[in-house]
Amino acid sequence: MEPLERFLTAARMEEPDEVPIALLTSARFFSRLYGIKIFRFFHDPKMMLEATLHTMERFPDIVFFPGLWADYGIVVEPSAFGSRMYWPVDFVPYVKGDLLKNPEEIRDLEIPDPKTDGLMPFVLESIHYIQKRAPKGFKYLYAVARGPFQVASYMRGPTEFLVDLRVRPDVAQRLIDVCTETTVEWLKAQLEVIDDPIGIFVPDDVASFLSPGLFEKFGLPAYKRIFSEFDGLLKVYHNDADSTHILHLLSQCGFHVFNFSPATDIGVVKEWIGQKVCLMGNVDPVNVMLRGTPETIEEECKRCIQIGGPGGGYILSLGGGPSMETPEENIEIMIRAAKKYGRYPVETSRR
Amino acid sequence: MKRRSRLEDEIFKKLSLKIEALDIEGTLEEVERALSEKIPPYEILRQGLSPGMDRIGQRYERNEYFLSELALASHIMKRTMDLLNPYFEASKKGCLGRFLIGTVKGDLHDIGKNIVSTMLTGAGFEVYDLGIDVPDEKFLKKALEIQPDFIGMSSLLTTTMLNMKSVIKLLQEDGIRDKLKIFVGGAVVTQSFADEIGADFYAKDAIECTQKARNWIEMKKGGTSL
Repeated sequence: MEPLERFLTAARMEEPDEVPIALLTSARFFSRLYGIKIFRFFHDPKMMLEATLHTMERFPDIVFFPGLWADYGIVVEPSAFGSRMYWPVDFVPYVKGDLLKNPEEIRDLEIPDPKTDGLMPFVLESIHYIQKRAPKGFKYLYAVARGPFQVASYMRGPTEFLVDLRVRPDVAQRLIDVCTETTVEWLKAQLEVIDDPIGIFVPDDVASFLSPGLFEKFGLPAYKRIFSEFDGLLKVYHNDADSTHILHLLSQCGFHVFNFSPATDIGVVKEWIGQKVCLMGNVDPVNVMLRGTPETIEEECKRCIQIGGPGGGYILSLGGGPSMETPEENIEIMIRAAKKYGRYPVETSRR
Repeated sequence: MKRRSRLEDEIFKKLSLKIEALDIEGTLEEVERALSEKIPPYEILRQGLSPGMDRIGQRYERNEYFLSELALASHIMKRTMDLLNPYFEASKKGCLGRFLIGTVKGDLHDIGKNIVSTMLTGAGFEVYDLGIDVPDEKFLKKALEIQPDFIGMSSLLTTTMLNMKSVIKLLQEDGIRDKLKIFVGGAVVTQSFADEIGADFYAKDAIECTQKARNWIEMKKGGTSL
């Protein structure tokens, strides 16, 4: 099987020939491997494409997810609402200041227009650029939009947003509703310009900061709304906060693949939702992939494969994107571990 | 030592239960009542709010409370401190110690750091919160000014965690490193990283940080050991 076919087979909850490996597309990691400043990656679609292709060609056994991507970092959605962005030379951009300091302003908040607001038009234009220039064998496949909780917390401030859920639930609900519709509309706008899309990708770590009760009230309806759209496409959800307490609710949201971090135990995830959702994770990107020894990396990959792999529906990955300074050799070890331990039928292990 | 009256006991008990239940108005009412009864602010903190905050921490550890509840507790503590602060200036007695805290340069995460700040405040520490994206020199400058017992640094990014090391280096160069204890924490930080950069304590969350800081102060005073 080819790596993408292997990935898609696992995403359909089936057993491929061997456990697929996927790494999140990472502007930091790609820029370093290509030898450019992160700022240039974001500001020049040519560099963005070249750095991405360079890494994809360097590791052909890995499916980079979402692969070709007009990635302008976490600031895209907040920028469309008018948030202030900050662009360091050697780091990814971030949102500065909380746009909605006064909660009353939330009542007048409107859904942005992807064709005209913030960085969204630049992303759409870059999708055109990347599609037009991508060499044979490389396709732009996924629409990407941050989830409503991530975006809401950037605009309101994370602590304030969490407090609003209890203190001003009607205002919090309004903000979540606007952000949810923004996620949906933003995904649709990208899908319109992607030639042959196969899926959507929704990262949203902040949702796991909610208690099960709050998630059931605010999170579940928002996610059901997002993932009930986009029939026929692969729906991938990323959340690298500890999600143990809401796993039973996440499994009802309607996504197909769950990318999670070591904060959530892979054994627990496999047991609770592994029959329903394809799991993608959860090797520690810092303590194992960046700072581990060859032995600890192989051992952790083996452990994840033997817990996540049996029965299919599993993709070996990190819990989050690769850290900027991740040694290339460590990724080679991961690839070798997948070949060594991931051949189906996979040996079973209990944690 | 002054004996506590039955009224004080009742107020402390109620206050503790109100904050544990995350009852904003109820907590504020009890704090106001305590102040009107002329109970010293540090006693209100230590006998009323602190036990309640401890139980919030225990409920977090038992998975009964989550980050959303800790953020709310942090909000309530902030509001109670707004009521108590005017009275603190008159009496600094009873403060467990001074704790300087901030998220290191380049890092804008604040939830965990805010929760640590309020948990420490709730435990009776005098907390100076430098906020997020704090340059190394700002930690040093404030430390020279307030002479804290602890400096706590937070980082959630692999790219910014090394700034903790540069802060420690700066404190060493200025000769004040050994006069205080350094805490580090945040999602990417581990005990081995804390050891590697020469920090004194690693705390996985606000609860552990508060316990370790309190234990250290008690041990220094010759009280209960770690």
